[in-house]
Amino acid sequence: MTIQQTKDGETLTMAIEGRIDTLTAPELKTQIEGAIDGVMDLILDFSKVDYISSAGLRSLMTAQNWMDARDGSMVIRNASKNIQGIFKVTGLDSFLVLE
Amino acid sequence: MKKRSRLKHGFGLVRHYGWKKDLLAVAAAFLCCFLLSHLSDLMSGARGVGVFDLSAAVMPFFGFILGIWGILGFLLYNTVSFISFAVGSPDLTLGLPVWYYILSIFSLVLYCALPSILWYMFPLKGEEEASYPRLDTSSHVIKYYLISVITIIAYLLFSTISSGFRIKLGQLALLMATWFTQYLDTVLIVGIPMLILWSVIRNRTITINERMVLAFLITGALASAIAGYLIYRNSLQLAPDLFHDYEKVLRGEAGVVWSDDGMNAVERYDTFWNSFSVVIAVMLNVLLAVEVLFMRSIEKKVTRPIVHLSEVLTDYADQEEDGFNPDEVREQCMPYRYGYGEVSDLTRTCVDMVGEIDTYTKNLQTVTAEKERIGAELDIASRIQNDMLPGIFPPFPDRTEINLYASMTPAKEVGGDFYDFYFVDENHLALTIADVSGKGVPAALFMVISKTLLQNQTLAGGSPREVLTLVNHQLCQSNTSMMFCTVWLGILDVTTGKLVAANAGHEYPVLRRCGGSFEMMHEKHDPPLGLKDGLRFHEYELQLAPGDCLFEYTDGVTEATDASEALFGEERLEEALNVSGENDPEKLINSLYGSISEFVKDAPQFDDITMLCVKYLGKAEESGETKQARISVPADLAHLDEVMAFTEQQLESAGCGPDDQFTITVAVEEIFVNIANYAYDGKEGNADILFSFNEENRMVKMVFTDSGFPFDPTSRPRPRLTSTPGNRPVGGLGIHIVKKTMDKVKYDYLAGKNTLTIEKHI
Repeated sequence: MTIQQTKDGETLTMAIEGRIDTLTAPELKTQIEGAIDGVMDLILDFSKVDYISSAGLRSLMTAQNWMDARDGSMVIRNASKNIQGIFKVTGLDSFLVLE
Repeated sequence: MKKRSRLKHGFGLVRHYGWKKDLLAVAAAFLCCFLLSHLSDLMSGARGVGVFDLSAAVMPFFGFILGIWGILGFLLYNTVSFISFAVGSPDLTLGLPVWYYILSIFSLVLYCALPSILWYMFPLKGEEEASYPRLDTSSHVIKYYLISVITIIAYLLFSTISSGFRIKLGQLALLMATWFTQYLDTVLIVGIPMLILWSVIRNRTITINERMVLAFLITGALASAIAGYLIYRNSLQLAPDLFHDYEKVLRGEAGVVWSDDGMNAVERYDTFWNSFSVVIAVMLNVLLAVEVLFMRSIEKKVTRPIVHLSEVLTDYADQEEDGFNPDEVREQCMPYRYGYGEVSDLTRTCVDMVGEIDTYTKNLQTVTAEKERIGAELDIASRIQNDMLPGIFPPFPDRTEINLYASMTPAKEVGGDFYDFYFVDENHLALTIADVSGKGVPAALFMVISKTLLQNQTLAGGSPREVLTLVNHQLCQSNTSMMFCTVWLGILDVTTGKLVAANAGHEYPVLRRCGGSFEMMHEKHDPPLGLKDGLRFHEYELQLAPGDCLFEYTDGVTEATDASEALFGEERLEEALNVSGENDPEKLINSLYGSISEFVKDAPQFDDITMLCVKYLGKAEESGETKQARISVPADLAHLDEVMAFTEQQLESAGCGPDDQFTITVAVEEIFVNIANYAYDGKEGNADILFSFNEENRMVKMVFTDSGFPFDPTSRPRPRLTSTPGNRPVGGLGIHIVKKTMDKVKYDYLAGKNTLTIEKHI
């Protein structure tokens, strides 16, 4: 998994590429944690994510909590059909903002 | 053919030893003539009158032994000596006509060549071709003697003719007789030792005959010397100045000197030498004749019998396999049984030996025939025994509920192990594996009884417990030799998978639950059959699920021994079964047999190796063509990638679409991560994953097995999805995804293992 960060004022775009599984999810969490200082709008670009497991979902939920705590927003963009399916199955689609 | 061969070799004359050796032969002949001729000069004083030239006598020898090279050396010497003699004289031809010289050279060559020609021209009776000149037998001595006589006579006649009869006939006869005697003496006394010496050099052996000839010659020479001395003394008594006077006459210092008996000095001198040479000739001829007679007797009584005996025995040894008749040997040996002591002893010993060998051979044939007969009967017994075991696989091709295979490898010709299987009724399959105590024929007989009784009682409709109790009773009735039989008997209801089994002292069965690994079932044992009447046996029940595999064996498997006496053992058995990974009973048994062979290597097999494996497939509609694969990894997140790669690979080979692949891989990760994190509570342990794909209904089935703490993830309450993420419990999400995305999720705790099965139609 690799993450490309682009910061524009208070907007941070993280383009994630690869698999978010049990092994890589903690890395995602750490990277988000280290980058969101002063960020109000977090955009996660999932166009190149081809896999996510529950560990990844947990990282996403943690990130969502952080953003909620600072009254910011988090948006997941371009998630594939399968990943959207996972969000749906777990009911996360009702908490996450998908675009 | 013979003639051509003789001509080809020029009667032994034309030889080529290589140029160096040929030159050496010429030189040897030359040197020999030189030495002998000077020896003659020494013996006869200033001029050779009394004693003729010794070298002349050995001329034949050179032709005989050295071929043309010897003749050449001899001619060379004569030429040189003649020239040195003639150089001082005014007329080089000494006043003789030239043809005389040509004739004398011709006569010399003839003289040299004749013996060899005669030797090769007349092979002895019984000889294919004349052998190389050698005095190894008395016949050859006679031949040599005759050839010598003929050669000398021929030479003397030829010399006389060439001299043109210039001497009166009376004188000539006397001269001829004298010369003949002298030549013969020399040919015998010098020629024979030279010939023998040459033979020893050439063959590096010396025969008895050669030794005897030499011994007789030496005796002859000694006797001649004594006789010569006596004649010499006698002559001196008659004429004390004999030699002195003779020399004076020779030097021309005196005229005719008369001695007391009226002879003049020259006559007396000649008479002395003549009588001397006659005495030698008589001595040698007599002794030689005695030698030949003696040797002929020895040859007849000793040498030839031994040679013949040796031939007869060689023939006997060669033909023994084809049944050479010892009577023939006895008959052939008969003439020698009453010969000289030693030979008749030897003959008798040989005849006795042949007789004993014959008796021994006949005994051996009887014993071998007996052994072969027993072997053949054991073969038949072994075949009968083999035929008693069901040997056609698959045994029930129309029964799709089971897959069955069995094998028995006896240690000896007939063994005491057996397996058996048959349908008791439409749905009940009886399975038996048993081992009779002991080995060989007794075990085989007991096996036949046991097998028959077991089958009869089982077919009569008893449960395993009842069957064993009854058979035990029957076996105990007439079992004075206290043989016994360990039996595992199971009856499987193929429709339900329910197995009822009883174990009379047999090895523990090994069971593999579908997707799990083989594990020994330590059920309760009863004693073996046949030891004690009136015993009660127990049975137990086992529920088989489709895909379960039951493996039965005898102690030949666990007690297979390698060269260092180590046993194969139960642990190795379990390990080998699990490592093999084979799912088909036949392949599994063959693979295990391979493992045993690999373990045992060259050590001999002590016990029968018998194996039976049944795989329960369940009802027909559940069965279908399935593909299976397994992976077993340590339950650690570090091995997650390995598990994922395995899953992806299997799904791809099953032709799974990307969407299903996505959900299944997610499910696999969730389950594996669950096992890795919780199953062993930080301790080490394995996670086994069995992947199977039914091509017919396109159903993917994956079974996860771990030996950790019993834990059913499916029983966890559903995560409260309605709560906000902040309140959400950490766990439970993964298994929730699994449950949601898979068609079927099932948890079992079987034989100490957590088993989680997921199924998804793709």
